[in-house]
Amino acid sequence: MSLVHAHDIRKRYVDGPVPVEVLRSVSLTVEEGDIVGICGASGSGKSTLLHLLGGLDRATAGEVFFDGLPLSHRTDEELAHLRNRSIGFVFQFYHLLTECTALENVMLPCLIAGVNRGEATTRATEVLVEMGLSDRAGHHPALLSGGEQQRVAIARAIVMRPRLLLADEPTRNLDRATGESVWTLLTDLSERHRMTMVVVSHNRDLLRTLPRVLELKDGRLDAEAA
Amino acid sequence: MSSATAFLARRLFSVRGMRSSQRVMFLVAVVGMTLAVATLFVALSLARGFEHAYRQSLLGFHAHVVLLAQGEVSDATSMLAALPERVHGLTEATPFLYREGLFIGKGSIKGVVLKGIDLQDPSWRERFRVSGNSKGEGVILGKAVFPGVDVGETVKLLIPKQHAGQSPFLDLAVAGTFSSGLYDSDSQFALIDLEQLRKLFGDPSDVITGIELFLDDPERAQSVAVSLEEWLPPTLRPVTWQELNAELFEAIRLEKTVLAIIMGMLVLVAALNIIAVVTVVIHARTREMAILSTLGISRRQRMKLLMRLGFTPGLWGTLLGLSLGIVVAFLLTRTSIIPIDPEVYLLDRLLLDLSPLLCGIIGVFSLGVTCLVAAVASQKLVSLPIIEGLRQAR
Repeated sequence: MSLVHAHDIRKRYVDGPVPVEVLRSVSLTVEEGDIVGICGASGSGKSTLLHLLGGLDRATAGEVFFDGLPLSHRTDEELAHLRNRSIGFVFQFYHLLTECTALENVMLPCLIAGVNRGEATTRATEVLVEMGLSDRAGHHPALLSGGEQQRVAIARAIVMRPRLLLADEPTRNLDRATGESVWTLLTDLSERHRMTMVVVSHNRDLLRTLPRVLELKDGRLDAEAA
Repeated sequence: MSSATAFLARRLFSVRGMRSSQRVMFLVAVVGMTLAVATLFVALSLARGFEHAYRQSLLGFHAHVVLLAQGEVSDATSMLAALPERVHGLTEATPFLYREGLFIGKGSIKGVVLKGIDLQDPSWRERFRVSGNSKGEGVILGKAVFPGVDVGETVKLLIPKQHAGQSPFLDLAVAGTFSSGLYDSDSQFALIDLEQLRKLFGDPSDVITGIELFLDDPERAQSVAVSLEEWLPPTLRPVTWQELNAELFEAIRLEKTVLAIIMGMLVLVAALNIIAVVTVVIHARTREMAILSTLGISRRQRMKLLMRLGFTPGLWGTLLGLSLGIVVAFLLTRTSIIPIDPEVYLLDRLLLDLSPLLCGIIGVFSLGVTCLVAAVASQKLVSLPIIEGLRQAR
């Protein structure tokens, strides 16, 4: 059974007199352990597709299935639980809480899951060591470089060992070398932990390293464009 | 509270972490709640203090149950002897006689009720807070009958009926003054020995207006009155202190209720400030709330976070308000910042009842209102759109 399956999903935004249809009849199947890249021009709906796959937003029509169960039938509480336990997000802008240290940021999903503070600290520390950030654990995001912030964000995304990792332009804000390093880290982690990953990027050079790449164009996931 | 919400509340919603404009709003909410709670506390303490003082003064000057004669009765000796057996918890039973007269003294004339009691009984001295060295000779005036009158001075009493050839004016030595704490009693009553009063007015040696009963527990007055009703002769009717002062206590009860409602509204208005604080702070934290949503924070956890945010100024305001209220009430009782006119208020000083129970009730009320308001605000704000928040986070 596929881990994620999007069936004929559409997304329309109504902002002003003319509705904007961002996604038109998008279907996608991602098997457990797959690494799928999605490319497309700015405004093509890549991030919107990722949000729908992760249950952050609801489709105007169509259905997204996670582990065979439709997301539209789940309550907000159930979706929150799914995001906490089974889905990790990595964003272009890192989205770290500036009031928290790197360690605390990584602990957050554990604390939200009800893990006690001691256990959460242990888990977060292990992941930060895996990311090579053990010496940065006590630093606040403002004191970290872009690459380090993104690695903290990745650590936060995988600390609960999710089944699906969704990465939205994870290298866009980074210089070339750092971007490549983060990209390698993501793909390595995905393979090492057998984590399914859907990654959106505009960088075709990086996407070429992935076994499967899809292109989103005019709101449709047209064809594989590796 | 779970460790996640407690941790996030400390990190995201601490006063230190707020912007200066949010801090000002937070401060305004706390100050508003503090003043409202303090006002409520002082107002109710004052009302309770007046009620308590009236009660104490009334119970000091008036008996707990009065067996009042329809007209007057004679020969109550056997009844007085039987009362200790009939009335459980009776501490004192004393006959009394009321007569009216005009006193002339200190250059003025006053209509006064002369209350004849057994002055040989030492208990009256303490009850009426008598100053002077009287053993019962002469008259003991209420301290407001002739203010400034000295013990040993002579006042004239004009009595309406006198023996043939007797002057209507009698000279009486002032043996002392009493202070009941009630201006009405202190300005309209004079105490005199029962036998002396009968002689002055030419009454038979056993005539009385009634019998005053004092109980170990004044609250039992009603049940004692009911139990005596069947036993008493038709000429005597038991009246309790509550019945004698029903209008006064009803007025105080009404005053307390109205004060509680009006001051309670103040607390509600102050609590509404909290909605503004929660709204502003949450809208400034849309980014963080959206990020937490991507990490899987549940609606229930978000509600707890917002409730905590709203509850904090309410808790501070309540604690500070009660503290301020206690300090203000204490100062009012210890100083004469607000003088009161005894002719208007019947009492000669401001009295406040600083009861821990009142503190508790106001604290629970204030925190309850805060919880309610915080819950309403949280309910409205808990469903912030995640995607919009993520866009703001860029």
